[in-house]
Amino acid sequence: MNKKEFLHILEISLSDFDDEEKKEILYDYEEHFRIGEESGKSEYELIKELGDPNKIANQYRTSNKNENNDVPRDKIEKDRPTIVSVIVGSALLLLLLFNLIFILGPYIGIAASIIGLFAAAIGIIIGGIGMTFGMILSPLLPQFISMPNGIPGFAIILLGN
Amino acid sequence: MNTQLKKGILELCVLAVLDKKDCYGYELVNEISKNIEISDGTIYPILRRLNQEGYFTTYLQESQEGPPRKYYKLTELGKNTKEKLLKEWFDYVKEVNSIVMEGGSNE
Repeated sequence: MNKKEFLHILEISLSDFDDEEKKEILYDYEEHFRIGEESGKSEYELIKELGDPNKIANQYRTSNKNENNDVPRDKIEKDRPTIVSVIVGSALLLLLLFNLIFILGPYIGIAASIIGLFAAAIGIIIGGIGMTFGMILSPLLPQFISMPNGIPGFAIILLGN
Repeated sequence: MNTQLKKGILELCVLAVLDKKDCYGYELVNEISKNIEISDGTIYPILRRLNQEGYFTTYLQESQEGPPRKYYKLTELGKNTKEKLLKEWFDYVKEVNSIVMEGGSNE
């Protein structure tokens, strides 16, 4: 067996790989031969050191297979919708709907009323400040500010605070 | 020896050699097969698999002798994996030694 035959046998035993992969694999051995010969070894020595090309091809196959067996087997089972997963799925969906209607509704209601109360408090504070300043300033600027009649001054101060 | 074990050890060897410096395939194979009795053809499939797992990247570099050579360079993931495998290896050796050397080292 010479270099050509070695590469040919390897290529044939890799026939179930796609072309891109096969090319990459074969490149490694071509380079190996090239550099090996440059460093003074003969084709035959290199072939002897490399070992049986059929065995080498099998090693690529087993390392691929191991990967395939490791990962997709779980994946396939996950992808296949079993009755159990359908039941679990629909139960989750129902729970989600239930939550949306019965939990989210009241939750938004409560949140809205809290926000409303907060806004009212801010309004009262601002109004109070306005009333207080209004009462203090109204004697000075009677043409710009008019205070409601009938409310005693101290009451306005109390409101303001 | 157990092939699974040998495979794991070879992986460690490949990663350890590349951790020292970037290598081209032939150099790497020589580095390993001069110390471990193994056919050179065993290393390339391992190289390819480790490459696919992202333990190293490859680049082509010109050489004085002729066409460019494909160099392998360890990635961060490869370095971490090497450290992990190295620790496992030392632990394993220690465990095995503590069994096979029993009586010998314990006075």
